[in-house]
Amino acid sequence: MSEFLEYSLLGLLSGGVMALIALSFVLIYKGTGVVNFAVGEVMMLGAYIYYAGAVTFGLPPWVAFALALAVIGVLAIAIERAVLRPLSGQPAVAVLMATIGMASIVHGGVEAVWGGDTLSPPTLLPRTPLLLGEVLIPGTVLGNFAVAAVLIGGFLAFFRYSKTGIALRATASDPVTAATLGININYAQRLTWLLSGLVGTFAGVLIASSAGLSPLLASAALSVFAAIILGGLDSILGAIVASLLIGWVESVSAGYLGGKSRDVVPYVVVLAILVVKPYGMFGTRTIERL
Amino acid sequence: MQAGVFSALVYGRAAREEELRLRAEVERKVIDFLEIDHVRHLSVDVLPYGLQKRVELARALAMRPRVLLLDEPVAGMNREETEDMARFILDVQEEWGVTVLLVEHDMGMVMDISSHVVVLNFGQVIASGTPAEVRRHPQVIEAYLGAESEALA
Amino acid sequence: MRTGVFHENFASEERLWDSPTSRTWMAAFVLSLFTLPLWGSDYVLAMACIVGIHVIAALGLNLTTGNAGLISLSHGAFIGVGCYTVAWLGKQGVPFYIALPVAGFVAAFLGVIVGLPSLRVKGLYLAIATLAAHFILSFAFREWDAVTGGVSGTSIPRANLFGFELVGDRRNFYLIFVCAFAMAVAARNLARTHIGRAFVAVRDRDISAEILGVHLLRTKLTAFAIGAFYAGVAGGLLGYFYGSITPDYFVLTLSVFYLAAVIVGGLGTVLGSVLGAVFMTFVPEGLRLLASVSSQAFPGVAGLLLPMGQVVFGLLIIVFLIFEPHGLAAIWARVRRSFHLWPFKT
Repeated sequence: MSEFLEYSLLGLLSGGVMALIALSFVLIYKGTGVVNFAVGEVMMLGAYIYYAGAVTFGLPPWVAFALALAVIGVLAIAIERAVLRPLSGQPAVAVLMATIGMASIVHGGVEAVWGGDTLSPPTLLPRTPLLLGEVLIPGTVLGNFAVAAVLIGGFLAFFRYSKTGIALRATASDPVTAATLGININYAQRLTWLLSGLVGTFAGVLIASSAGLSPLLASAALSVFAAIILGGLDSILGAIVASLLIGWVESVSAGYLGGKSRDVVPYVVVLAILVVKPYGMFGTRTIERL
Repeated sequence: MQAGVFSALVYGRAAREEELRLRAEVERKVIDFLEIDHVRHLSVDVLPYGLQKRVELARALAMRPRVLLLDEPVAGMNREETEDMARFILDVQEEWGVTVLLVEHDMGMVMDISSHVVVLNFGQVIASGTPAEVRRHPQVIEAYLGAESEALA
Repeated sequence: MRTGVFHENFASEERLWDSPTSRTWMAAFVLSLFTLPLWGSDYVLAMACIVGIHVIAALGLNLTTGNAGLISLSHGAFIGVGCYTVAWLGKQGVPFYIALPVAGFVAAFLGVIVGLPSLRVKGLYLAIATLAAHFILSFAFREWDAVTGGVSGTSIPRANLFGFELVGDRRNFYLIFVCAFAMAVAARNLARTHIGRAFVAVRDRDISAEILGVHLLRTKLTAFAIGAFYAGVAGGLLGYFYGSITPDYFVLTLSVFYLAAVIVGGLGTVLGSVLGAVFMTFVPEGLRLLASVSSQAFPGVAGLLLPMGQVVFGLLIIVFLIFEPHGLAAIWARVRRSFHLWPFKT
């Protein structure tokens, strides 16, 4: 029983960081309608810049982190301007492929500059483990979850209560009407990309400092796709709940069925859910009008 | 319309004959009938509005309907286009033997081409009959022209 | 200077190569490829085989994604299915002319299953569902040792035509070339029948298509099935060509590669599939040549080859999407038109 508890708890906690990655994706989808396949790569780049700052340039970890946030922020805005804006009229396949192209560029660039080996950036959070009865939780897992929870709570509050947040939501649901109401939709979409990049950097640095840094980090985002589609592509709450759920499923199945099942069980779950609830648990059912 | 996948892939006899048959039918019976032959190879979005509507009618006719439902087919058309459309609808009904259910506000067109008219006002049927009968119906006149004001009466 | 083609009956209008000029060009092209083993070097022949395999797979994906608008990220997995089927059947002694179609059908069957979510979802949800399917199939490739040999892969017995073994590039080339040509013609045939039109209708507006009498589920499943069939055959030919395979060939990057080939080449056209496959095959080759040439001047460049290849690949996709969204096929058509209208400008 305590085994199950341990797997469950670990799964939920790692789901917290997954939720950050999912948030990064859902922000862009909700804000601009773009399916961003480059989420993992941006996250990875943020982690590498943090590493460069902290290890190559010897900056204190928090300064390096701020540097990473700044660089990724600028990059996100640059991407929005240079790539997404020219493609704004085109069909979804085209934009999807553009994000895949971007992912490829970032991935190749990172490997070219830093190589394929695993690196160890310094940790930002304390490593002391927590002992709950018989269950041992590593400190990094707990710390990551705490940071993720704070960030997500902040975003939920931001979108609900702040004027900018509401403006972003308005731009997402109907850009033309939002523009007629005086919202500058260019700024809104740029801000969305910026926020998404920042959230991704958080996730990347958290994961890298606890699990090591290598180009494989980007593929952590792939299992997040399972969570995203489970939660509904455009629902922040859905992304969070689904990430926790998928994190739990992965951990429990890895514990009972062996580590390899981690690669396949989330996807089976996703396909099963799609049959029953096609738009995910919380996604909005789009009504198509002719 | 049912050459199978394999026949389609190798363009066997079944697929070929079906295609030729379809072409003959669509070209002669629909495209020539609606006089849109001159725009056959153009993309629909570059056509003028009236022709676009005619292409829509052609698309509906290509399905060989027994009943044709037309929802405001002459909305936004000028007199000439409306007359053309009215002529085509009449031709469809006479030559194809298709029953046409027309929803329209253009009174001139409705009265000219309909054999039976039903008038609805705020969801209620207020009159039903031949155009001549409906034209004289007091409630119809009231709905279209308004009743006499009580203060004046 | 040719101003147009004048048809006198419907049958001539339906033809694939409708003018004597295009027929002559096509014949010359086919003949020159057919005699390639006589005048081509070994390198050219090997590249031709690889291009042929890529062309077949790209044709399939273009039917599913370009014609029917169903974004499929599981194409790489279907190719793997074809390859492993051919491997397993070959070990049971099944000759290639049976194993290859069977591989296609097995892949098509899986394609139908992967396409089943289109019953409930569409667009990007469907794309991610195909992504999930890809991962599940990859897992099967790695774990189902009995059939696929697991992580260490498996060998494929060479294709055997009544004792004449198809070993080496020259012999495999004919097999691949014949398959590629036949399947390209089949794809063009499909486009001019009611099934091809149904695909396009579903792509443009599936609700309208349904109103016009197109059976949505059947059409979408057919699109997936045919695309997967092509992938399965391509995978089988891949197996016969390479002789051995491991599961880390059939990763997500492969699906993305074909998606890029189809977009760069031109969605929805057979010419686009061919051009895209050729282009995407020669770009990494070009990079490799560049690396080997410049490695004398800059040692250590070879290590950068793979990541730089990824960067170039990504850049190409983005550049094409921004500047020429209809792909190489549109550029080709423009060039052809200017030739036809010469000396007038288009």
